[in-house]
Amino acid sequence: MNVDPVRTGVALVLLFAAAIAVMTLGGIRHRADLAVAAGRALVQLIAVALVIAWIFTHPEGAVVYLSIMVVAATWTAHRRIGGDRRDFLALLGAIALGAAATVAIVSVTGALSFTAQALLPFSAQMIGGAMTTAILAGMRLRDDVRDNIDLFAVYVSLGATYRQAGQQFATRAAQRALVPTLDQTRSAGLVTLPGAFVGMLLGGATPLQAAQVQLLVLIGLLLVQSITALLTTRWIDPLPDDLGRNVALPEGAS
Amino acid sequence: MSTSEPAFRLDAVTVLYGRTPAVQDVTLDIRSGGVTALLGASGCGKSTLLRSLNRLNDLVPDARLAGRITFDGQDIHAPDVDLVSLRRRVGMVFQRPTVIPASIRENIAFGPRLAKRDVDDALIEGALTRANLWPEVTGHLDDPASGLSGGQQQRLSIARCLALEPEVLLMDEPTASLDPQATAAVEDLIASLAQEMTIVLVTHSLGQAERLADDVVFMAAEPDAAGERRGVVVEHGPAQTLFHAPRDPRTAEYLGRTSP
Repeated sequence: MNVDPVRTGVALVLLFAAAIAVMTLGGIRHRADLAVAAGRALVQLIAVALVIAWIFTHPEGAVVYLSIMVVAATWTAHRRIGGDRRDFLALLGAIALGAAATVAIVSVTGALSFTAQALLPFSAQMIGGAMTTAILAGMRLRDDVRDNIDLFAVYVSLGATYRQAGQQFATRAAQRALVPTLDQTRSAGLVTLPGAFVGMLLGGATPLQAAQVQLLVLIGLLLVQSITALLTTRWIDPLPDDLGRNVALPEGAS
Repeated sequence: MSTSEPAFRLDAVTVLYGRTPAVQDVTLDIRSGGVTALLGASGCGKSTLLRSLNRLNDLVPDARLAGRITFDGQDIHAPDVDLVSLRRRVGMVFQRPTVIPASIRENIAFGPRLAKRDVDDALIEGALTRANLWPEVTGHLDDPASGLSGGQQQRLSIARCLALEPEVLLMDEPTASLDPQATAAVEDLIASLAQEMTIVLVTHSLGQAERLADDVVFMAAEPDAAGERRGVVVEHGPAQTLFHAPRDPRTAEYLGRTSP
């Protein structure tokens, strides 16, 4: 598909101006946020496009790029969930293993060609999906423990470590973290056209080719998110940061 | 644990929630064997003090503890303390019966299985028998524990602890949510268990303390200089002495007896 940069620019300006006008007429006070969001998207996407263009000509750079993505995804999830360095490593493992397992199957079967052009965008989507699920699973686990601290105390009082007690809440938290992806997969094509499908159509692929790639993405996300949810809920500290610490003050500190 | 030594020794223990003391400056020994009742009106810090004895206050946000608690001679807040071992040796029965969402059998087996002990039918039957529950649940071990009555659930909670053969049972108003018949069953059980282990019982019921306690720790909520109410130990000692010849007028007033 040919994309004329001038016409694209005109369309973007018109879209942006229309959004600002609608917000102004509607009295919605987020015009500055909209400008910042649009500006960030512009800068980030141009930068990413340049990096990916470079990687397409230097495929060895893909490993570095994906590694940075995994670390950034882990950092984001860790910041949202909280926890210590051990929790960071747990999230890193959960996100990396989930994404790696899925990309490995798609590569080994040859469903996508073993090229940066095919695997880079697919891997990036898997990493993004893993991050979202890690955040959902981790937050739900800790919320469930906090909401059911009496039951958690029963497990602990029977000699369970905090992690063993957390296991009793892990499966439910993992299940709940998968609900959005299951809904997304179930409603694919009915409620909205998924991103990969739209991208492929705009790129000139046939609808059948677009559906084929979209299926790889959706089913791949189910696998990556299942793995990441299970590992996250089993590997992170189930207690929120303000619970489970030795309450004793240093001598003379009272 | 040596029976001549106290089970717990509390030395200048203050428990705070945030900056507010819930229990202030408690120094006392808790006897090894028999029943020690923590008695007092609601809000005087009895449960807070009880939960400090096996470090369940670690699960309360912003809880802090100053002073020293030793169990069997060991500081329970020392950095090298084995929390899992402490909690297996010092079991806990909570005010509200809270069963594990699983079968009756799984409730009993949970602790021993974690401790890597053999879980067989004899262990299940033994724990339920000691808790006076076996005749009521035999043949229904694989039924959900949530189907039991409140009194049965509380005795299941006790049986679950007994399966780990603890040296101490902490009981936080274990009959507070039970009807009189279920309360009597649990009290009979406590009296029988006190022959073989140490029990620390939180209660605000004078009658229950009189029926069960060997020693009594009487607590009250008192305002400090800034007007903040915090729990203090008014007096403690053998139940007979405290009930019949209280030394402190606050105890006498709570007991409804003439001040000394």
